[in-house]
Amino acid sequence: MKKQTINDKLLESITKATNNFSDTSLDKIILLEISKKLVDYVIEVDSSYTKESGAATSLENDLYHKI
Amino acid sequence: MLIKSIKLKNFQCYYGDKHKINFTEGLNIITGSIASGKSKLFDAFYWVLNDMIFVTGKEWVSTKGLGISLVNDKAKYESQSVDDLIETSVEMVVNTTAGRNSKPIEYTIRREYLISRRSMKDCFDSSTWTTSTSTLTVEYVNQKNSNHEIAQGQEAKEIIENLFPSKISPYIWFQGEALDKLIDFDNKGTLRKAIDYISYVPLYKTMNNIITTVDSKISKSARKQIGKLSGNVKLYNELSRQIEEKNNSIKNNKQLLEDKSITLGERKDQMEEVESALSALAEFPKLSEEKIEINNDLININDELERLDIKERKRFSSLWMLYGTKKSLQTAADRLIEFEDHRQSLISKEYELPEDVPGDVYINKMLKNELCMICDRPAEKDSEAYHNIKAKLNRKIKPEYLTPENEQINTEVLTFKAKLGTLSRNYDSIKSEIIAHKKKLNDLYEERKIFKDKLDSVNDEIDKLYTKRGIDVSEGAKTHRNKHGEYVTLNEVVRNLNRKIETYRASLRDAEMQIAKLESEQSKIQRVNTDVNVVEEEIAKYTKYLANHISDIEEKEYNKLIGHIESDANINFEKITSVNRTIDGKIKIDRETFRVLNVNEEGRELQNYNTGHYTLMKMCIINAIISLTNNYKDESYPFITDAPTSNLDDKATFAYLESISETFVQSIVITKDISEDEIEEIKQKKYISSLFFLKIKNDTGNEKMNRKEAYSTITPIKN
Amino acid sequence: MSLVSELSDKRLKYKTIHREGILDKFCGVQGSQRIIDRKYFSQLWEGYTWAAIIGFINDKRIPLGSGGKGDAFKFSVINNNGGELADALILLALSKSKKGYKCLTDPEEVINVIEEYANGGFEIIQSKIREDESHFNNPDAFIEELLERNDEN
Repeated sequence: MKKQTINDKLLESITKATNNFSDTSLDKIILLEISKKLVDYVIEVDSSYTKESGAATSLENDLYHKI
Repeated sequence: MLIKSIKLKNFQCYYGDKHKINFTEGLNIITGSIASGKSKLFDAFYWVLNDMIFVTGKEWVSTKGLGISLVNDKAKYESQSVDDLIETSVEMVVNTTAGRNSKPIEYTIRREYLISRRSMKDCFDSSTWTTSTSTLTVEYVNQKNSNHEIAQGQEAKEIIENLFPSKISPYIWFQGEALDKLIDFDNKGTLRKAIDYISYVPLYKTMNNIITTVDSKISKSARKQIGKLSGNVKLYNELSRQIEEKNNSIKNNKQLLEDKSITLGERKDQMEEVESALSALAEFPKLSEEKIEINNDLININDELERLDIKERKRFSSLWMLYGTKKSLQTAADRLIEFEDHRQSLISKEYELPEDVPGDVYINKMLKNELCMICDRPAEKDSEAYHNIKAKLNRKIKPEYLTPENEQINTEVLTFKAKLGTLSRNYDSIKSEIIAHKKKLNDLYEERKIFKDKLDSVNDEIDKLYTKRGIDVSEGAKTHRNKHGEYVTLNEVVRNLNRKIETYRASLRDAEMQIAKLESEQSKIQRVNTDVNVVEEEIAKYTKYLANHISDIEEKEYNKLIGHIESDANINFEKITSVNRTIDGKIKIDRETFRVLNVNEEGRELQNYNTGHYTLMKMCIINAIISLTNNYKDESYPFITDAPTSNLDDKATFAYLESISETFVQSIVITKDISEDEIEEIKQKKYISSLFFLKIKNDTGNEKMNRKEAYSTITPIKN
Repeated sequence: MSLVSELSDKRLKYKTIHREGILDKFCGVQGSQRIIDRKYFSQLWEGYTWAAIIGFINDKRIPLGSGGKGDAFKFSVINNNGGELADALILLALSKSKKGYKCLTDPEEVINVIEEYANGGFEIIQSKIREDESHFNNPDAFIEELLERNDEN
């Protein structure tokens, strides 16, 4: 049994909470990608590689690139 | 990760350097009889990593504080000269498991402690030796360049922190005795803390923070950009500024709210503690009174028993001991009657006239007739025959029954007949008297037992008050006053906090409403260039959406985790309790208070748990937390523990060990004292991968071992 | 002089070993004691009478024999303290005496009979103790022994 990683777990909780983004007309693929990135940053912060503020900035930049 | 081996040299009771244990995956058991060195082995694990060991009564003591007591006694004893060096060291080899981006690495962690002899005085005296601090080295092969690296000092410490994060280590390995501190079921904070420490739930907070930060930044940017395009730039910007202000105040209020809530939680915990102290103080006088009453009752019963005892002996020695003599007394009665009959017959005989002794009337007749009517011969007056006959007239023969002897016997017989009569009457009541007496005694004994049992349970209650509440009730009224004062203060504080929190909440609601108003005003302002796309506006839609949803997730996930811990803990708990009749029910974590309870099928709390119970519940919960963490983090930690089951019986212990073997990839358990003959049985258990037996030896062959000669040995039994 | 008064001056003899093995064990010599571990009987005559009765019931008569030291106490002690027990002893002696009712005028005979049955009773008690040292340690044992006796005609 492959153990679920934390990243997967965190992502799963987002998709579950939003019911796979079913309650919005926004682009699901983009939402999923943003969520993935967010989760990655969270892990980085937890491993103390980055600070929260830095992660926020990075994510912000990513968003500009995505959209 | 796996612990491959541990090697000890001159570490406490381990003399020399021939002590190495190679561990396997699965359940490794280290056992041995009492004082064979098990705890010291556990100490070795902790010492090599943290430079400390757990000393009962003192908790964690550093190498500095331990000094030469860390060093093996036999080694100290054998040192012959000044400047002798003794090395104490522990070396542990650890393999990290292959990760997604890495190969497995083997780390050799070694801590060394040197002492050198200053003088030839008492080798066990610390002033005889010079000591220093311990040194730590970590050796490994660098993944990037395949170099053999040796890290020391701070670098080594960092590697160890990576391998065994200090957040997690208290839960991975602990001593049975330290278990109570780790999770105190009466202190709800500890469970929450444990979960926060080692679960992934705090990550949700991070996630929430990041997305809200991004969202507010983007929204701010969006407003700015849109403002530039607006028909009324001044107004728009003014509104933006106000929105910004509100956002800031929301941020501040949220922070304050969080801080106050934490403080509130702490104060409430304190209040609860004081409350229970107060109620204990109230309980105490009640119990104390009960105790006095019961003691009085017992005194009364004992007095009664004493009285009965005296009565018994009195009756025994005046009547009861005659029981069983009925037959003999009957015989005595018969003999008395015998005499009476005999006497009677004598009396009757007197009134019978024997042939040769005529009665007086007849004799007078003979005299008158001067004729002996018996032999028919004449008896003339004054003849010899005449005088013979006359002599018989006045002869006084005493009746036999009137002899002195018979008279005396008669007197006695009469006396004793009367005595026998009384005696018989009294005799008849002996049996019933004894039976009534015995019944009274038994009733009193029973009553006494009931009171004694009551007394025992009251004393237990009082003991509980002392130990559980830690109250020195002998201080009585003063303690009560103090506690009460504390309570009133805390109550006030809590009230104030609640008020403040309400205020913040209100401000937040207010601010949010105002922002909505401001935003809608903003949106009313006409845009000049409707075909220019403001990218931030677009992005903001996404960030806002995510921010809104993610703020809920943290709480949901938390509850889910608690549910998981509860059900995982119960799986093991039920497995183990199915072999132990005395423990029952399920584990339940109260969502509000985070109390850990033992409940029945309907969810009602069960009473009567003992230490074994508590221990078992705690261990199941800790196991659940750790194994869930192992599942979510990309790392599995070994479970290392010293005697967690000393409060459980054998069956429950084995069931617990079996469940550990199923939960963890590797576990190292140092179990409670086991004798050599129980080893065979343990060896057979399939779920045990390795088994090591510790024993104390000496080389001198002396029966009694002293510190200079005794040392521990480790023998692998199964590997 | 009545039998009882003639008996009063006479002494009941018993063997020393029985004094040590039984009477001292079960009789507290100095009057009454109030402590829990007092002996079952407070006075010597009680133990003696008890042994005598046991001897009578079991029909065990053992002459005292000559030689060896012995102790004795006055019959009046029983009479003064034992109430009906003194009378009972006399009646029991009567039931067993070879002289039958004639013993009522023979105080020596009464004494002799009682002594020999008491001796027998001591032997019985002694063998019980030999079998089980703790037999009479529990005060309940005395009443138990009573109830075990045959009470039928």
